[in-house]
Amino acid sequence: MSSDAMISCRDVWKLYGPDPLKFLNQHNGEPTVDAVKEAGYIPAVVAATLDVMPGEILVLMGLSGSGKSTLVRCLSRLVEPTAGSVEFGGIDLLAASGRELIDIRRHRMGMVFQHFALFPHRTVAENIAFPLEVQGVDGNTRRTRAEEIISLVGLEGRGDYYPRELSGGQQQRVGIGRSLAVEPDVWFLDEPFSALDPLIRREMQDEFLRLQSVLRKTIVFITHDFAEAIRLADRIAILYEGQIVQLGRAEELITDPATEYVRKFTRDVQRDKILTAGSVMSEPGRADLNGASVQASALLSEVAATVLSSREPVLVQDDTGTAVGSLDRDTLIDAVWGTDETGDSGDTGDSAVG
Amino acid sequence: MAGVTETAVPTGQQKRLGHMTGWRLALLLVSPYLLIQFIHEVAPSLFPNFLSVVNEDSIVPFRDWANRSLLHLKDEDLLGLFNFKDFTRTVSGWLEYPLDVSEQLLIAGDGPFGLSAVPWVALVAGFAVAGAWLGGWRLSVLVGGCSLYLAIFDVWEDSMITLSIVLVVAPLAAVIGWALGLAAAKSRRFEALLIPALNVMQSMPHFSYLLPISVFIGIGDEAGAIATILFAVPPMARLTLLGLQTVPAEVREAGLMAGCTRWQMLWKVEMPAARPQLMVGINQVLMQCFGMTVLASFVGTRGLGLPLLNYLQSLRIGRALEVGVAIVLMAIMLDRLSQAAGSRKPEHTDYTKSWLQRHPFLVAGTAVTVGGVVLGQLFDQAKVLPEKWTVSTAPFWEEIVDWVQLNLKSPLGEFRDFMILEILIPMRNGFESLPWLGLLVLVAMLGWYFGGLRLAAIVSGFIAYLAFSGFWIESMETLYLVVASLIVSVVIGVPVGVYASKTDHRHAAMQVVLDTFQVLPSFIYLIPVVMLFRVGPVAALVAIVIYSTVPAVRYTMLGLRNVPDDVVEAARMSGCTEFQVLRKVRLPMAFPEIMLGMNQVLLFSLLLVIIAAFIGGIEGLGDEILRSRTEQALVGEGLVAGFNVAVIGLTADQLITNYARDRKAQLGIA
Ligand SMILES: Nc1ncnc2c1ncn2[C@@H]1O[C@H](COP(=O)(O)OP(=O)(O)OP(=O)(O)O)[C@@H](O)[C@H]1O
Ligand SMILES: [Mg+2]
Repeated sequence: MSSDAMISCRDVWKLYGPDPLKFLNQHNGEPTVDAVKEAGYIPAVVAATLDVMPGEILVLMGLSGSGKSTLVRCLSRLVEPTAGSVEFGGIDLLAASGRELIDIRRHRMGMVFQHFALFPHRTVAENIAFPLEVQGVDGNTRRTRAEEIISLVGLEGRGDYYPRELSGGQQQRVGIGRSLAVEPDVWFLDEPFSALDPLIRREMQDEFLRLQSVLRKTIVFITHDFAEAIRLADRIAILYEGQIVQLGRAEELITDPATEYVRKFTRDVQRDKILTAGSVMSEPGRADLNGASVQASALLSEVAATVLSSREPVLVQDDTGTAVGSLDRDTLIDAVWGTDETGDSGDTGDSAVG
Repeated sequence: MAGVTETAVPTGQQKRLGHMTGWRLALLLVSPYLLIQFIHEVAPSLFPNFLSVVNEDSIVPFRDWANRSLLHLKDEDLLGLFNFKDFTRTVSGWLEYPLDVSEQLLIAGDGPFGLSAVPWVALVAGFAVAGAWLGGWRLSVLVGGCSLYLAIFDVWEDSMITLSIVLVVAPLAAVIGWALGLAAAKSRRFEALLIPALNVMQSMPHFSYLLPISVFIGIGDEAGAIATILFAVPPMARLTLLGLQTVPAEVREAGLMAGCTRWQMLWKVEMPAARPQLMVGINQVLMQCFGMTVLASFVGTRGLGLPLLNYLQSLRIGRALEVGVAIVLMAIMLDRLSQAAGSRKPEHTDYTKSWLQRHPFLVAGTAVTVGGVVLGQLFDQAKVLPEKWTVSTAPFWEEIVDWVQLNLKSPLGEFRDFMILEILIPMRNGFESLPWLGLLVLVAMLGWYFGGLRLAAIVSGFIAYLAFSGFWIESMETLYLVVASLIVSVVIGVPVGVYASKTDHRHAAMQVVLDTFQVLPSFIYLIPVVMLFRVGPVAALVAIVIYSTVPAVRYTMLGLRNVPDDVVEAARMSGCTEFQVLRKVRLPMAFPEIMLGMNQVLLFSLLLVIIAAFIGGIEGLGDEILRSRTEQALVGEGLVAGFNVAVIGLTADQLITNYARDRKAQLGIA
């Protein structure tokens, strides 16, 4: 898996405190989180292992202070990890020299920041062309490229504006434009839409999806909004006190939360709009083979009428028409309206695996 | 509001004693002092004398050390390598050349270079163009008008000498300060060294710079220039550091992610992002340089200061006022020009216009220079303003002085005598009889309360130094005048600040007044005072009060205006009268800021009390410094006395800033 991953990080640690490396070594590189806190260190990233596949959108989620930003900054080496390894496109990022790192960042990485981080002394066009400028690209090429990007992010006619003359949404478009100027392979976005109001956020998410359908980047995206994660993600990683507590597709997180913490995150989502029939179905054996059937890839909201109106379990088929499982009324009701108030995850979770 | 609860962690004993408030707490803190004072007063025989005043034999010979190290630096080679005096001479030699050139460009001196000066018409017009470029037509009129005044009222030559020195030293000081600030921003260890050094340097009176320099270089322009550079470096270093530290981490990261090299990072990201602070720094450097250059007349530096000093000392108040007005005008010019330069925001460039249209001021500037030079070639009057065209305002000022002398002499004299006999002398006696142990204990208790044992140790160390420096009595004589002016400044400044903070309109108007007062060199404040009260402690007191009421008003206003609106609204909704809102909500919330204002008032007073001593009639540290100016053998004394001034300032500074930081954190208005 890791061989063709775009980014592959193994057992990455980042502790803040007086002498984190010494502390880690004293505990053979694997202290418990409690031991870390006991010793007065802050566990920003704890034993993080993950792969980001080419073209994938991986979303990092977690409460404030759970280490999302730090993890992403370890992946781009804006923050030096205390221990572990990070491979970027087959290169050992942590062993890269200053020069190599600059090269990688100039050509292969782009980043969008939570608070935009625009250069206040530069116009929109100059901000966007900044990464090209530091590479020494000539002025004309820069201007043409800046024009292209300005229209890509929908800021036509604003090229000469200064950041202070733009609205929040427009400023973040500039941030996005700047991170795309060099056509990076990997795109890091640290809560890019959190500072925006809900309407603009929605608009920017659509914009982001539109861009991604054109650009097909490898993306690591941070958010603490589960709805946003579901809209955008291929896979979601949930962080808690620096640890990745669960990594998987949205449905997996909902149907089979690894911990209470993950369950709390997923509690408020509209499950029928996310879960598919395939993710909650049971063994095919119990189905009424002569009754109605539904597609495994269909959302629960789409199949609800069929399932609820049938007394018998309904047959679930995959795209080719093969029977892959069955779905009955109770399972559907549990999956959608859940039993998590009681804290009992049993029936929906177990039956979904597979 | 979430962040507030996290930050409200008082560092000192405030946590533990937090439940004690008001007079009980105050009593607890001052009781050890009161006890000592009580024994001292009631049973002097029980009180060991050396705890009251350190006797001659026990004094630590700081002055001898200072004297000896100065002599050593002067006469012997450092580490057998080079002679410090030669070194300073060399530096002053380097300065001589640019000083000459800039002087000859501004006025036709008869130096060795034979450069011909820019004609005065070109300079005046040039100022006007610069004003229009940086700040529009208003500034153009202001600056052009001021420079025209300088030309017509016969202070042109002195003003241009001062300007020529400022033009050389300000860039040097700015570059040095910038480099220090940059180094401190890049290295924590250097920052840890630099900050305390800056603290000391900024609380040393001006003369602590002038005196040693004049020992090594002798008196003259170069000595003044070097002292000025040293004096103006600290604010620039501080503001550069501040500017670089306040560049948001994200902006820096954005630079890194774009692949900036370190060099690109500095010049394309950090410096431009820190521009606002850098420009404030440059403005401050310019104003400090101007003020110090004027003051450097005490070591024989030419320019506007020298005639002012002479006139003041010979009590020719009319002439002094005339020069004083010139100094004020020049200060305003420099300040407004550099502020306008600093607040300029980048503008769009309209490429549809022609080159000429896009650069109107460059064109105008060139035209004015060329035109002026041509005029100068054609008419001598354009080159150097003929004597008979100039006007002196001295007779006018002289008349005012006469009128004052005639009509106000007795009421002023009575006021002065009353102040001296009834208030100042008793107060001075009180301070002089203060046992040093008492003050030490008082200061230690406050330090302990505000910042724990560490702060207590630091500030009581300061007091112990004062006690053993051999200038205890002199320090107290200075302190009493400072405290007296502090009280008056607060009594005047706080109500004025309260009044001015009430509406936006008043606030804006007051801001202009304060800004103007602030840029004037401290020296200036002595002129009207000497006119009214001649020399002596009352004159000093009045001058100090005028000077140091400015920060009292400024900080009161700042503190009151920073009180969150919703808190005030909540108080109104609870049915508070306006007075109750002020007394129960706004003033308590603004109190830490007002205390920071007190700190400034104190520092300002300390600096001016030393300058005032030069006019005469005031005992204390300033007098010691003054005497060391005339006698080389006493320079060590002067230095130690100057250092005492700094130590008094630092003690107050440490206590007050610690208090204000904790209190602000508690109130959540950090
Ligand atoms: N430079 C630093 N020094 C000390 N502690 C740090 C530093 N940077 C981050 N931390 C700590 O590391 C932990 C993780 O921080 P991080 O910024 O990664 O959180 P986050 O998940 O991005 O939170 P948010 O959603 O608020 O952005 C936090 O407890 C934070 O206080
Ligand atoms: Mg973050």
